[in-house]
Amino acid sequence: MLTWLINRAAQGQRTLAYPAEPANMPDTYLGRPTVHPTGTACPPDCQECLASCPTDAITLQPDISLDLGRCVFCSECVQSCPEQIFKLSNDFRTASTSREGLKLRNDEAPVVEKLQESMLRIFGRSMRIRHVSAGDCGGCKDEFNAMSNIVFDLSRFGIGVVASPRHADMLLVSGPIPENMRVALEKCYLALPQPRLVVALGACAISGGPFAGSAFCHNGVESILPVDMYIPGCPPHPLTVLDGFLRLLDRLPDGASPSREGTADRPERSTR
Amino acid sequence: MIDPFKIFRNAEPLRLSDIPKVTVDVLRARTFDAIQGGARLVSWFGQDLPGRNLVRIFAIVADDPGQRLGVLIAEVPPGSAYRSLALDVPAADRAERELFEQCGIRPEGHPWLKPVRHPVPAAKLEPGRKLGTVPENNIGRDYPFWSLAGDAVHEVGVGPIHAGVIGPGYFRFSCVGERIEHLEIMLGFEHRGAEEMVLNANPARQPVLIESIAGDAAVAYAIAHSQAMESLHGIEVSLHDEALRAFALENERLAYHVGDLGALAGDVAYWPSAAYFGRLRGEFLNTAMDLGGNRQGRYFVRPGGVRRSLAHATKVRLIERFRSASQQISDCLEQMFSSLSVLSRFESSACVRREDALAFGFVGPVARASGVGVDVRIDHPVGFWQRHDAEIALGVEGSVLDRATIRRREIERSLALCLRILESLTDERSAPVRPDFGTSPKRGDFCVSLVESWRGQVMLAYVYDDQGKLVRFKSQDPSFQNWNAMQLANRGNAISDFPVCNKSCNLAYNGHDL
Amino acid sequence: MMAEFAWLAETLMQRTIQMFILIVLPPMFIGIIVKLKAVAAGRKGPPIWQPYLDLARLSRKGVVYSTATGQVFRWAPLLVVASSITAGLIVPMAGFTAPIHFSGDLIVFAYVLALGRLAIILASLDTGSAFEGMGASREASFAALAEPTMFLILVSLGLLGHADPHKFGVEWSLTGTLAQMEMITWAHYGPALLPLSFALFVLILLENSRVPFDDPTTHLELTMIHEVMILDHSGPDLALMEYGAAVKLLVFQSLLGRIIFPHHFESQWADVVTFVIKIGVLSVCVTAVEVGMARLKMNRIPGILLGAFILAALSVVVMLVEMGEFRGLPS
Repeated sequence: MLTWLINRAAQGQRTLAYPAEPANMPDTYLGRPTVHPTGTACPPDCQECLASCPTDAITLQPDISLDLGRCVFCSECVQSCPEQIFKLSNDFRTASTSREGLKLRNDEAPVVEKLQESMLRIFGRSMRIRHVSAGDCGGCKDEFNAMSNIVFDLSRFGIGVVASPRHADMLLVSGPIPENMRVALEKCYLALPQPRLVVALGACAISGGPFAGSAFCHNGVESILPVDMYIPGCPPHPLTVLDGFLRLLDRLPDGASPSREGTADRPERSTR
Repeated sequence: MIDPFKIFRNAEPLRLSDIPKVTVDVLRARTFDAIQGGARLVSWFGQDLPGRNLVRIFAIVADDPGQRLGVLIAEVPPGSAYRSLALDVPAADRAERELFEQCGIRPEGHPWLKPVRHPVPAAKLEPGRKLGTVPENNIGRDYPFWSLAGDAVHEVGVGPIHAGVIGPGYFRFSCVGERIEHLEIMLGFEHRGAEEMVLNANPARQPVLIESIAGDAAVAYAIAHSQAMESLHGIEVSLHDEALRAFALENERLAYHVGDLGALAGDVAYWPSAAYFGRLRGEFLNTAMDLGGNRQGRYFVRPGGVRRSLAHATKVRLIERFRSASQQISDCLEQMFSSLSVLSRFESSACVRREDALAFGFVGPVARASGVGVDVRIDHPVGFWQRHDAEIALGVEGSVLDRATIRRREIERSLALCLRILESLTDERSAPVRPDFGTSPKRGDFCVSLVESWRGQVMLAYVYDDQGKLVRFKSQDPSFQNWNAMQLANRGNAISDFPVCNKSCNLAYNGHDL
Repeated sequence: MMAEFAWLAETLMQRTIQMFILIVLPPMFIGIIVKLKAVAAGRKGPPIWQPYLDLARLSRKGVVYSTATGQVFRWAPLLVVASSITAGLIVPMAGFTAPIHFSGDLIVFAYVLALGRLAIILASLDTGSAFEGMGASREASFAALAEPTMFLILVSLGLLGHADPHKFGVEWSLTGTLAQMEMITWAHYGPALLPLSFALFVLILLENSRVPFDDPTTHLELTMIHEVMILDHSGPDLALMEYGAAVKLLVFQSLLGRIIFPHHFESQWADVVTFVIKIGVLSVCVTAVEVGMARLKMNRIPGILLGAFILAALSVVVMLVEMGEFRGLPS
């Protein structure tokens, strides 16, 4: 009993103050890439960045762009480019509600639009997530698991992780979706009651990541289910995921999430 | 005992022409004799040789006390058969099934010839099709599960999607009441075709793919790959970088062992330890981030050394962090291992006997908990481990408590080792070597590289052709051997204790499924 | 006339407060336990009104029904809530008497709760899933041990009520017993009430799926007892199941709270405040057990339940002995 109390006192309360206070990442953190097409064009015939990128995330035509959905944040492009066009900033905000928004051409962070009003009324203060590991290497799964620990503490936002898809509101998928998981994933999606969300977690779930082009995988969730938010990373830092969720649910203190364009109650997209 | 084999050391480059070639029956006989003589089966895998219409079978064995490895080759026409090795050597069970699945060579009389991964290419999907139905994948539909007959027997199937945030696998239990009589595990859900992709990957993608095979052992896989590449291409690594690599490996071991103990505590609903260890794990993930920018330790170890230097200020901060973490972890370990309610859940449950561990060739903490002292850092040291001793901790009855205690000992030793490494590290800059792998390997065309990840022995094997192109890449995760431990340990276990057993082994789904 | 009006008004007020407590407060007490657990672990945790937000969300979600389920599955959540609330109406919470009291109401109390359990077991069997069947069989087998214990506890309470059965004209009634209890009752009947309270606390933990018997937050499907039975419910059905469980917890806690601290104040508001404090203290005890102990191996649970049964039996025996001693003396 005494050891219990002493240990408890020693451990203290460890939950981060974020989002009430800004979170500071260390200098070594490989965060959101920024593209700085300087006035000078690339040196003639230079394709160092293309050769150095493990997942072909960089395109040079028609203009220099880095696809965050493919990026694994390895920083090889930073080291290989002679003109210093690419940098990896300290910013952990990389989530986006649109796939196009992940293709970076400058140093602006991708945008997460908040959910429609009708969904915010339901999910704004309480949400349950069902995670499915569809071929994930373990990174995304472990980082998501870490979000329920005492440092990040998802529960303080009313967000919880559930066992049964019937209890869930959001299907969080990680991994490049091997064929052997496809049917299980689809059945899991169908078991979520409406309204429901699908979020792709990590480079593999967005584009296949390092496994893009494999004969046994589907190159990400998009080819199978309608996706509501993309969270890049390999694996994404828990704060990146948390930031994505909070912006989606309009829970950030500065209320910075833009609204969705179009009709107030957009009917749910489906591949059916 | 392994003298008939071509003897080599861990990560030593070989020429295929130097390896004796025998018939498949002789291969089987020599392997069997070696195992009888006390050797350990490391791998038994195949390579298609389409140009010559043959299948080449590699048998790799280890003489752990003698710090030697042995390899032997047989080449057979596709579709041939031979008397199954698994009949006499249970450790070959899964390897022979894989050989049959990958290359079509049939082990006659194999007691359990069932699919390992069920590799099915991704179907072309039509937009607008109905979800969850056609075209259905056959995985599991034609898998022949063993079934127990009897009125009191009931079967429960769990998976592939489980209740927690965990990998996909299908477990079929045959139970009488709460007691499990038989557990059968079907895997293959995470099959992504990693081996094929590595063959075709460009030099930028290759190391990233290898780290992604089992991303939670990314550092171990990266070291295995780098060792092999350095051997084959004759690249030197500085002592400083070798020390940093060992540090990164031990740091990964710490992160996952601490996390496992926290998860074990959470599984028995002992929240203090679950909370403290869950947080402390973050210290090691953040250390990986300080080293290489990635919390999983990716993109740090590369052939030639490490990709980033360790700044002096960072080193000082890490030393401080490890000192403080050591104290906290030691207090938390003391609390958890003296809690009677926790101990009563762990003791004497889900035991793996020593005879089974030896017969089935288990590796890693699972084997050590059963009293089998295998550890690549001691048996087949490369680089840093040739100059430093790792200490081994052994368990007694292979119960959940033993596996947890092994993790505790390894945590304590890794912490001490990490501090020693940090304190003796000079401030030398790492030269981020970027060797050009476009040229073919100079020193050999076959290499086997072993590393002790936190789960056990990781094996990567590389085979090149005469033009210097990589034609076969074999990745063998420790879980490949150890999944049988799960099936054995649960016989006689209560079904409600299964998750604790599963977590105490913590085997890889993705590492097994490739 | 005025006196009658005053009495009517007072009773109406009391009943309204009791209904409010029974129907509105249960999720808040669950929220308190969750928050305490989080703080004990070193996390910030959700606000204590989070369960209300969760119920609101669930009631707005759609439902997904498995093709294997029938009508039983659809009616079960309503039955669970109905049984919990009915049981709550029999327990005198924060008031002198309970809204429902009649001779023999403690038997009805026990079996109305059992009806709720039956509903949940049938619903889980209706899904045809091996898992839920496993959960149902665990629940049923533990109930086979717990129900006799509950019955003995109620018998013991009923015996206590015999000391002065004519006060309310009811026998074998929860109100009949609890309304007559005062702090002094502990002085006379302490040796019987103490084991009874322990047995009842063990039952609180078992019936409401708390550690060490079950883990309400577990993600391990093979270890679940209560949680696995509601795996297939979604949307409003799930809201009803969760709400029914919260009411059941409050009912049990208020019973134990009233036994441990039976004093009844003149002022209605003092009663309410004491009630909330009592439930708060019991919630802290439940949380303390939850945080301080690991969960038991499933095969040890019958042993603990047997212990609780013995305590309850002891309570009955001692109660009989004490009744024999005190019969004939002014109470």
